[in-house]
Amino acid sequence: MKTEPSNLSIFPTIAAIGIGLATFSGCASQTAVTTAYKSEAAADAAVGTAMSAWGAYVSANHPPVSQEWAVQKAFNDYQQAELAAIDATTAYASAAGSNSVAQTQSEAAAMTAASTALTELINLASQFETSTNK
Amino acid sequence: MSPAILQLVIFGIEEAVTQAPGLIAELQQIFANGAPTAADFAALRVKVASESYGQFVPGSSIPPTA
Repeated sequence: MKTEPSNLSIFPTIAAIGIGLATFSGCASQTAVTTAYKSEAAADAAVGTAMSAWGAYVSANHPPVSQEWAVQKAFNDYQQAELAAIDATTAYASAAGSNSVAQTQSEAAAMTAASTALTELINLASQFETSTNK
Repeated sequence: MSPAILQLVIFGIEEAVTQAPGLIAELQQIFANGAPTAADFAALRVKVASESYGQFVPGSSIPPTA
């Protein structure tokens, strides 16, 4: 059974991990696919934890619906960016060493976009939590 | 990866150990595996695609989307 944080204090921690994930995308070695996969899986795990924390926060504090809409949109944006990153990495892996520079750049761009979306999602929810508790 | 970024990530993971043990367990599982297979990519894609806002926020005030 997964133990989730009871509040959003975990968000800066997850943001720090997310920033690190973005930098993994620049690796251009034989382990690039493995690293990209692990980065994408870790990002999804981090978002799951963050969203569970947001869910607990919503249940306890009932923030304005406008804030929930904003976080939902950020989550959906992250989800689409993450799926694009997974697809790009899968395509990169399928090429098995015959990747063009354009393919490599495309994969890196997708990873960066996913990381950016993750960071925006976490920053947004964290910002709402801070403003509500003031 | 620059030393500063690496230090930031290590700090984040150390904090997560105490704040979100469930996340750490999941990260350990992810990083313990070797090279991913096509099945791993497919499983990750299905998992991500199946996630929804309502799944994580059951007490939400906004209606669930399809």
